[in-house]
Amino acid sequence: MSKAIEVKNLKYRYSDDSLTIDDISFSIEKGSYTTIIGHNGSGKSTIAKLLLGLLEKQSGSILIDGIELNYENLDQIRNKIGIVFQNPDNQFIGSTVRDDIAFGLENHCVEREKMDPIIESFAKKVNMTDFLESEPTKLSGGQKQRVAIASVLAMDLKIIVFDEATSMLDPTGKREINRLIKELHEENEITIISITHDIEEVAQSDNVLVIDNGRLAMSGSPEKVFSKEKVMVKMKLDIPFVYKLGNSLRAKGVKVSNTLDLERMADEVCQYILKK
Amino acid sequence: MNNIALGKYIPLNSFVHKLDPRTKIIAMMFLLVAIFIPVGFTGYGIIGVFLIIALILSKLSFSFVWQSFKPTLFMLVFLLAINMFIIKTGDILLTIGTFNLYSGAVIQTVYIVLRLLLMIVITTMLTATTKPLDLTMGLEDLLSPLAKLNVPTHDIAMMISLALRFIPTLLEEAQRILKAQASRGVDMESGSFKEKIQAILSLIVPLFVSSFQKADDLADAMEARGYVVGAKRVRYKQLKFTFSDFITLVAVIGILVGLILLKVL
Ligand SMILES: Nc1ncnc2c1ncn2[C@@H]1O[C@H](COP(=O)(O)OP(=O)(O)O)[C@@H](O)[C@H]1O
Ligand SMILES: [Mg+2]
Repeated sequence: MSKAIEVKNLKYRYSDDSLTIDDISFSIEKGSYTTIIGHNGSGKSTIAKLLLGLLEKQSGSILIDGIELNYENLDQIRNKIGIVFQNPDNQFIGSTVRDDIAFGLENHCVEREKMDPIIESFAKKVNMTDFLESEPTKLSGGQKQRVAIASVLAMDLKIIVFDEATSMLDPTGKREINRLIKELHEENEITIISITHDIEEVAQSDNVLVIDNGRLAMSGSPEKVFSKEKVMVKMKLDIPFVYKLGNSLRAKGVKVSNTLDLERMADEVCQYILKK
Repeated sequence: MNNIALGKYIPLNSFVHKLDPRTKIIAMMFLLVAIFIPVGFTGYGIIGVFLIIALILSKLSFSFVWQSFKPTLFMLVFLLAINMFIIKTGDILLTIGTFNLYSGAVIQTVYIVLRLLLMIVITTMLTATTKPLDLTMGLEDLLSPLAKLNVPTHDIAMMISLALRFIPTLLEEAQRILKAQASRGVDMESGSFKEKIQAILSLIVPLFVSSFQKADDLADAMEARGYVVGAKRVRYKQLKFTFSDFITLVAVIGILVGLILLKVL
């Protein structure tokens, strides 16, 4: 598999004080589902904005789908990578759902005759067909986020960044959006980068990047990251209960595997007791 | 906030609603000019009949238009009073002590009332039957010749449509802040002048902060979706000039030319 994103020695500071992003390097496989975790203010959103060229990197390099991001080819980059932000209201640009999905198409100079079919097919994909003429004030947060996703999808992108896209939603909205993201990932082979506080989502991802104070503290599979419980606790990051249990059991000499599956853990514990 | 009829869009499905916004803007300007051609009651009669027909076609209720007119009544009474003292032409209609009421004063006042009434009906009809965004788009198209003179008509139109898009959002936000401050004991209604100023500040400051945050976020969202200031883009919504538009414009131009001829001949 080739790389969707390659970041090398990325540095960024907002003003004269300390580096907000301090020499971060990582790469993301095409078609993978990567989660980024880290406590508030660690620099996650800054990384997302740097990847999209919304902030200008100060040193290092960013390759998006093999193309080096610089200020001459931003339009090319934005044909490849899109973003869904946290606040549903502040990214709703059009005055209706239809206009909002059209906005990106207008910018990418899609032919006018082709816009309606595109808008309708993506509204259907996110289950918003009945709301095409609705204004944003008449929609719930979850519905607005679905529109934001449709707007990004309509631009035919290969990589989508979600910056805490569900953190302002109620539990139902959260569940809906998470399911939709997973569906998109599985059906369309879109590379997903999700900045999140939801440990269930992290546990299900292919790859985790842990950001702490502008540095990449850890990266790898969720199993690998969650097995470093002490480091995680030190960074004030939560890990799923099953991992905590597994870690404690292993510390006591009970040989259980690193799994998120509680049933499997129970079986292994029983087997261990039987063997003893 | 909700009982102001002037400038409010009323979503109905009518002949006037379906007209091209450009037609409506041009018609409005021509009619406003027509009102100021001094041909007396004949002119106002012709424009009035045209507007009554348009009002019926627009399915707006007469009481709605009356609501827009009501706030100006006070001003009219005032004007009438001034005219009575100033204008001394025509016949004397009435004498009270040393004060004479002349017919000229009455006619002049009626003219002003009629003119104002017609102007309000015209503008109310335009805003009540045209979505703010369509109005913006119509204006952008009509001003497009100015783009050749490097006037950023498109950017201006984009700014107006974003402002329109965010008015309801900001109103919601203001209400939320109002409630939050009320729950902390801020009283917007009563209190001394100084307390009132403080109460208003407690609303305005957070509203400003959140507006700047919104503007920042919005700029990021727009840029991420490929918007570049001044760059070429394809417009999704297209205005359509139909036969109804043609008829409407012919009628309006007819009125304007007719009144000019009446004046000249
Ligand atoms: N526009 C900005 N100007 C100055 N400092 C900023 C700005 N945005 C974020 N920061 C600072 O940069 C750091 C990282 O912020 P951010 O990337 O938003 O973190 P996260 O998304 O992980 O919560 C924080 O300390 C924050 O205060
Ligand atoms: Mg953030």
